[in-house]
Amino acid sequence: MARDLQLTRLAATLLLALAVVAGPASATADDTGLIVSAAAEKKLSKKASAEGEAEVRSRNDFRTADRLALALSGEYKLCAWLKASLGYQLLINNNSESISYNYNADGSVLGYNNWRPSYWGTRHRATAALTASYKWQRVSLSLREAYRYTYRPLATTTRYDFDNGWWEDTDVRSKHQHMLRSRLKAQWDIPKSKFTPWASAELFTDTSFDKLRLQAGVDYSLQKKHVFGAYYRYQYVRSGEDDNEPNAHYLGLSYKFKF
Amino acid sequence: MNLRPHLAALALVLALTACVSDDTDFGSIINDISKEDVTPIDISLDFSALDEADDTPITDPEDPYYSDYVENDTFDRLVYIHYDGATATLTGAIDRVDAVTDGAHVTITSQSGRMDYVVSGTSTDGSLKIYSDNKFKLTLAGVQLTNPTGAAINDQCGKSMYLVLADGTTNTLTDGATYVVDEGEQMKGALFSEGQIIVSGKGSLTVNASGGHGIASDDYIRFRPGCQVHVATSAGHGIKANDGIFVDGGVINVEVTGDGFKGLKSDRDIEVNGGRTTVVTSGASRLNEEEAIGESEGGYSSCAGLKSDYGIYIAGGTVRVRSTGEGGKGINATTGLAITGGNVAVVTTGTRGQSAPKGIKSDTDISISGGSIYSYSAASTPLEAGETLTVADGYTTYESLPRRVIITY
Repeated sequence: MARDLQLTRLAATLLLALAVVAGPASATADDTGLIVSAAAEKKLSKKASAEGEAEVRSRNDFRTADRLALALSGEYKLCAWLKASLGYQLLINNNSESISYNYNADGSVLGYNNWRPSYWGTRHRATAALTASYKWQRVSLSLREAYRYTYRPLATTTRYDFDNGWWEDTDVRSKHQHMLRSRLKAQWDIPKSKFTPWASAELFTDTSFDKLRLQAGVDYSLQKKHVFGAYYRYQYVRSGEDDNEPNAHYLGLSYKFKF
Repeated sequence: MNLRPHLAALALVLALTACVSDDTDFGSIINDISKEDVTPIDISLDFSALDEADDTPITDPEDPYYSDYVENDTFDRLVYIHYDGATATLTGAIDRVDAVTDGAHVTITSQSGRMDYVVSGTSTDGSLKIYSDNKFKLTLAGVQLTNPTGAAINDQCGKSMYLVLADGTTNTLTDGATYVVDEGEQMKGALFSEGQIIVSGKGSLTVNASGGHGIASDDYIRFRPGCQVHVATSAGHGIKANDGIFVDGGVINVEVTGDGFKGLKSDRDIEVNGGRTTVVTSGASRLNEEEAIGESEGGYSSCAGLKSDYGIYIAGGTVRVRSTGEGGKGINATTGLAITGGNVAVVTTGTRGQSAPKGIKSDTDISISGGSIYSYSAASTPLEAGETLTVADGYTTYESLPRRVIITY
């Protein structure tokens, strides 16, 4: 118990530190947001399980709703160290505004061209993954390789044309996106503790390196059925092909019910 | 220390505060970027009397429209056609024509000029079909005519039909839901003409169409001051012309309930110079397929109050349109729209689906230099030019909101 109390204090300190990290981040170009998720996992057999999850995410220093995600997935243990998973996600995104400019011949900005305000739109996402695990002493290492397909249907929205001074309809074209995700994760099994610290690094690649996601957090298990988690995520976006995301710090809170 | 309540509280607080837009504030550049709903004006059919200036015929024989005036020609050979239930009686200059009656279905073939067919009476199973080598005058002098198997009046003459609504008379033409069309002929509406239709007179005409368009011409249609026309259709356009629709005056009310159909539809220009034209459509978009009434555009076609495959020119009068169906537009021009006068009011309240319910739209240019324009769209742009919108100087009001535009001179 004394160890858990220490870990609890450590977790609280970690969250405070994350908040401190997130605070100054808002003063830079990096964004800050919150991710809150709730999931339920059903064990179907010794090898198979299914999961449903709902997630909300904010951006703009926690002030703007960014997206809602509903997910269904299934996982199957192929052998002791390898499992496969398939999943579907319905994403309801608050797509950020888009501003284009008119330029002078020398490349300097002449003025605004069009402004499309933020709008809500749906996306469909499917993921197939293989995860290999290796346990070394108290550390579990896993490598997940995932293929992710995202479809964004055509959406018609409005934009303001500064040249003509009017609002007009504009179509945001449908889009198919293919992404490879590679995640290396380490998890520490602390004896007689309900806390499980972990850290991961994940690389997103489409035609080239797109995004790096670094995460560190801790899970707290209660009666083996309830798992609460808190984590910090930093994502570095290189190409911006994936949802036009900015570099961002996230504070994550999760809950999972296992049955 | 139990972290759960703290985490839950933190999540709740953060979730509740994530309701602020992160859009750029362009308030200083855009007059009013508010997307708050504005309440549109009410537009409905208007049968009230209209005080119009006298309809003065053109007297210059060189004027291209000189021949559109029935007063500029002589129609002194009168044939009276009177319907009475299952029979029709012809009197007058019947020796000038070949007339065949089948019950109350009358077919007239004429090689004579100066003919004036004066139609009256009532039949729920009758029609009038005219073959003529010459332009003629058709006077509706109080007729209520229904043809269950086609057009009530079918003019197969390719020349002008001067449709005169006798002063003070009430006339009603009704078609059937399915048409029986003679081989090699067309029959596109309850009142159909292969040639021009020039409507005049100070009577009223109501056209109810459920099998095709209301009033249709393979040439052009002109409405002159004084006439009162009410068209209601469920399976076609209200008023359809291949070569133009000209509204010089009159009180014209059009109701269209079918999907994808228009109040006034022309393959060429639509010109409004006077009168009061009110169109109400309620249909949704329609996937175009081969149609018996002769139109196939492919893709989805939405309703519209006025639709021209060429230009629309409004120089005077009043045009009021309300479209309530999915994608239903107000005024929709292809090669250009010019408003130089008159009062134009458009309200579209339909949803955006296969089509966008734009208020006033041109695929190319829109030019506004006079009159007053009110356009509201609940789910799309109220005023949109595919190329250039020109609003001439001199306006007294120019209010452009995302869903409403008001321009007044």
